[in-house]
Amino acid sequence: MAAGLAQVATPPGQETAAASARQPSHQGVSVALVANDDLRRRLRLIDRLREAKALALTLPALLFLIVALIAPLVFFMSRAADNTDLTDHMPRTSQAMAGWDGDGVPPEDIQRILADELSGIAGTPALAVLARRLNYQEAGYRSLIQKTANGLRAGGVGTAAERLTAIDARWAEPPIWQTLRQESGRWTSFFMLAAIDLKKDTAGAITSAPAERAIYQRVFARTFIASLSVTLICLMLGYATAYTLLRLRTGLGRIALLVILISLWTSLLVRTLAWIIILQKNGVLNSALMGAGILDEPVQFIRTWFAVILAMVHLLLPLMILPILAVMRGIPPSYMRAAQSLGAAPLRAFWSVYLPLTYPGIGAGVVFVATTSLGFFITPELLGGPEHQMISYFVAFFTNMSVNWGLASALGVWLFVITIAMFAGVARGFGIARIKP
Amino acid sequence: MSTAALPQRAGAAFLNTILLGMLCFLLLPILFVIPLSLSAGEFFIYPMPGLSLRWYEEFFSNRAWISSLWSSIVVATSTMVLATILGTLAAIGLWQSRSRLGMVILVVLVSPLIIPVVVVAIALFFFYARLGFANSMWSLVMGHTAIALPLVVLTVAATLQTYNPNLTRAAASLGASPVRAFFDVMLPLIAPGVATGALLAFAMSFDECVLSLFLGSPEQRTLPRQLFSGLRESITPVVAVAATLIIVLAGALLLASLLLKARAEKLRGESP
Repeated sequence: MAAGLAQVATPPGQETAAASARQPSHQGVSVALVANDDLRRRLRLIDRLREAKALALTLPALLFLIVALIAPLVFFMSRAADNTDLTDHMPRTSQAMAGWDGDGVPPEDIQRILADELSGIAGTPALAVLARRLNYQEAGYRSLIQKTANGLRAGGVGTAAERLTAIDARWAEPPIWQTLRQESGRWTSFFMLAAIDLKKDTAGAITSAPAERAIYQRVFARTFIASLSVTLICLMLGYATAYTLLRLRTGLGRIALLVILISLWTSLLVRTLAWIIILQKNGVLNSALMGAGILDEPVQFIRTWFAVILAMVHLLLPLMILPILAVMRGIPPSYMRAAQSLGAAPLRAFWSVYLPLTYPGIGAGVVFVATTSLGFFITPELLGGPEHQMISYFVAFFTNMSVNWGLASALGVWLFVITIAMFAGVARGFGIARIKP
Repeated sequence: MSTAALPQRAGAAFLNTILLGMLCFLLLPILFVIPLSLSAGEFFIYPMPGLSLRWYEEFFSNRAWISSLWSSIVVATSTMVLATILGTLAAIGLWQSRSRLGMVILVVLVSPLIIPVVVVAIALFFFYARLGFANSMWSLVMGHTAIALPLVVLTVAATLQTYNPNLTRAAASLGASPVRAFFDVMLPLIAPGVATGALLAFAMSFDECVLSLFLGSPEQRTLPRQLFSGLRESITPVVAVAATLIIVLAGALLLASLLLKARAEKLRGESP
């Protein structure tokens, strides 16, 4: 506004405020406004400088996080689409394949490039990497590639196509060639699709993987359902606990809060160990039930869903109680009294006044519990059987046991995406309270 | 009146029962661990055949356990120092900032809280393996610090909400340099929050198991890592000894954090 006035008051030909300030011969009002404008600019500069100084303080932490976490995460995600196992070890074939139209079997010149390259890496570690990578694509390709490379190296007569077909008849058929063509690029969607039981057929359309290989959709569903159940159970128990705790006399309330904090601060691993002691075959629970005459012989609790869910609820309950408690503390009791004095029954007052006020706490608790339980690894590993393992287990499995880093990364990326989506969904739905540690 | 009060009282009794049940549910399982560490028997079961300290002797004479305890202390202390310095500086910067960029930076700094731990562990493993130091203690310290950073930032930021910025201005007007004003005025007042953040960072690192499955030196496993293998391979009461030590340490850290909280409330009462 003031800047606009100064502009109007400044005679034509003197464009900048600085210029008019140097010639103080005109109206006093204009000069005052111009000075004001200058002051404003200087203030803004000071403000910006202050802001820059403030943000500079966050720089060390930000840089650290970029080096220690964000760069590794980006690198990790890129691995899920990385195809260099193929393109680095057969560079010329990949290039030639990209130029082929994919109809039937490629012409002799392309076949010769492949034959040359395969016989060139026969006997080197590169061949093993290549064969393993192609075997992910289709079971049986590992032996095909190794047999072919060794056969070509041993020699033979005729065109490349004749020599290849003489070693294995599959080289006369389109599928292997179409696979090579499909996977000739620097990046591949193979692992991301495989991680959710999908694949591209030879025409490039996305289809379901064969039933005997399709396991991950079930694992994702299982992870999701376990996480949802744990979250809902924690929400109901946690809400009731927080609600009651606030109504206790101060001394008792302090003790109750202390118990919750002890549970929170006790190691996850130690708490899982506690459940092993209780649930194992000759554990506390079986002894108690048998002593009471309810059971005649011990029941197998470990390696059941009961054990996994029970322990997860126990581990995550404090994370649900504390944010809800923090929000409930801030709600004045007079609100409920006001609702009731306006004629609402206690239950109605709770539903339409109290509950909505606690949504931010619910949101924070649900986010903590749901995102943590989605990534649970240690507890199902120790308390569950093979059929209770969550997606995290398979990420670790493909990293450590069967070295398929592409699939491990792809499963990890999907887990990451689901977690972020869940977080965003809950945050939008409830609004998250200022997290009070 | 009495007819209306009856269901309410029944409801209150019901809720109190739930609360009591929940508190037992949270506390009792932990209490089952400690006595087993004193068992005289070979097995990890109740009833115990008698009391003895043999498993404590076993723990403290076993090199693997002792070195794991030691490397956990080293990793957790390094994590605590690094996370506290970086996190406190960042929290102060964010507290002074008024721009949207500050909000974005806050979100970035807090994001490690919701990234699945396994994803973090494997991402760091791949990355550091390529750089050639996945097997060193520092890879673990860096991973732990990244996860502990949000805890420090949030704790210190919460404490700064109660700090009166006029105190820093007063110090500056009396001639104190910004650094001096920070160390002599601001830091003593926000110290309980900073210390609580440091405790949280230490506790988190001392407890963390998933990252240490993938990172860190194989000869110097951390205590949770050693405990995890103990649980998977052969469960003897020596595992309960390790667990008891962890519980005692966690108890001490919790006590310290409660004392700090009380001190913070006292400081808040004194400052204008």
